[in-house]
Amino acid sequence: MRLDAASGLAAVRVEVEGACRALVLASPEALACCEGALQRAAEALRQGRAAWDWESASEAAKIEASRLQAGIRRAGRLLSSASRYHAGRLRILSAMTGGYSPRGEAAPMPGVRRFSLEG
Amino acid sequence: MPGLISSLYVQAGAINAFEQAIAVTSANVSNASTPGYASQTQTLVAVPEDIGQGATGGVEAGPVVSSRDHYADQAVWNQQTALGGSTQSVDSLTSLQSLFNVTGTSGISTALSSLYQSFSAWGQTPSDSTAQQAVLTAAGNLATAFQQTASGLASAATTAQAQLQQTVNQVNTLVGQLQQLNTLAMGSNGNDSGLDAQINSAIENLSQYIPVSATEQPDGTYTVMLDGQTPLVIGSQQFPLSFDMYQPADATNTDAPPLAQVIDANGTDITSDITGGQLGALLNFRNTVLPSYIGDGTQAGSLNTMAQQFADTVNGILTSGNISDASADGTTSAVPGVPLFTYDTTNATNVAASLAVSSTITPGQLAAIDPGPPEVSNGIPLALTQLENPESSADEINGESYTAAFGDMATQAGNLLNDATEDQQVAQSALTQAQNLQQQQSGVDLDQQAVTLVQYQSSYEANAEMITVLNQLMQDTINILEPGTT
Repeated sequence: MRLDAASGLAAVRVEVEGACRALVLASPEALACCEGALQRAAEALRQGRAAWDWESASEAAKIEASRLQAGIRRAGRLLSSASRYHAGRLRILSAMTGGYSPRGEAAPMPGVRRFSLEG
Repeated sequence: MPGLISSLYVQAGAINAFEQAIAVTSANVSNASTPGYASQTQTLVAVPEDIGQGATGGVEAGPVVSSRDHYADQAVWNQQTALGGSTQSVDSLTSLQSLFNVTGTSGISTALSSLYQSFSAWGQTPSDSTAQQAVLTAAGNLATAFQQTASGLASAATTAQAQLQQTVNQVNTLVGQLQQLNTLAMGSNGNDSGLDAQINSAIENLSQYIPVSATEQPDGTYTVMLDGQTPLVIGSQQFPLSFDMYQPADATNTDAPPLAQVIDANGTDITSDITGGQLGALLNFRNTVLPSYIGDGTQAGSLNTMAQQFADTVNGILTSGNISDASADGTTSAVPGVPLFTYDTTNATNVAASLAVSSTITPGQLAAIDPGPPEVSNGIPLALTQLENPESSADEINGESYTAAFGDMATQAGNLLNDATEDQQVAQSALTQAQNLQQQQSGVDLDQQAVTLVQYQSSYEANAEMITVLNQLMQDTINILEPGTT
């Protein structure tokens, strides 16, 4: 029996809201959790398009879709504000460590390499 | 003896330094929840040590370093501005939405529907005085509904105007407090963390009302600007804002409701610079949202346009008809219809507020006969009934029926409120996010302070113990040199 769309969307919304909570906390640990939550939400939504029962989509599914949409917009805004904050911080650090370019912009910082292992 | 004395001197200096460090840590713990407070750190500086040259070494208290992060502070102020703006928008738009009720038993939508029903009933019995009276009553109700909506919008404009004045006053009061705090800061040479907290708390309060940016000066004062352009306070000098209502230079209707403007200390209109905060939201509501309904010097507003077009259309249909036919022998000519609605024709922004049923019309003066050809005895009521579901562009407003047009106005108000409500929720989250980021940079971490306190306490106790030992040694030395004394 296929999962109905409303329940599937609600499960995705829970993941998105978890990501929002992590984004609000904004600690490095919380932000690390956020990435996973958003990936899980995107994957569940991608799979749900084929797997969920959309034919009997009810009013509840529409309400859930609307809530999910609001949640995604909220996550987007929080990601955007966090991104702006850290980009600005990076510019300040770049100027402090590397000075300014001939055009008056903060000198680019050497790229920070991330190393990750999965097993 | 000189060695012991210099050791005592070193230990006393160390105790003094650790006392200051404990006091700074204590202040941090006490102010952990104080708005605007940034964690302080007492630096410790090693004293040069060269016994041969008489330099005794030891430690002394260096400068107290603040963890204040202006970048994180600015991020919080920006989010406060966003939250202040969306909260004000929700407040203003909630009152607006209540004027555009399309589901209740009152208001323009219901009155319009009742008038169409009365036209339809009149069309079935065109000479029935009860049906004619019902048309006049329904038309009167519609006119009253337009008047009430216009009155509600005018009242919202008056409220917004009063709120704008209060907000500008509040901004000036907060900037005045900042000016006083700056004056105090000049006397403290920028070393007062409590004063610094008060200044930052005041700027954060201010940021709810207007977009602000602030720069700390070497003397500890803050230069505060509106949107980075208009100075509000520099050192001990305040630049007050003022508020005024005006008619734009390109106004074609000088009797229209005026617009609001905010003026800086130099007399420059800075309204367009204030795009955020409570003041920005109020200006948008007063200068953009409300005029779209009730008009201003350059536009009539959708409510007035609808009222005028509806009244003109109904009057046009009625006056194209006849109350009675000409007599067959030609001795009496046909009696033409008379207008149903009247309104103020001298002011396009006053149509809805002045819409009324003609004071001279009687039920029997409602023209039902469409002279044609062919003549239709109930052609006029049928044409009026047709307005509900128009088939001709002449019966439409902006390509749709009057009912749909009013629905669009209500939808616009509802959408604005929904957007503002969602913005408010997101802005609250974004503010918490910015405050958390600020806390990570300059907040008081109580766990860290507890560790620091224990370290300083241990150092203090160790130095105190050293003094006790040195004191005992000196006492022993004195006893050796002067036996018999205690």
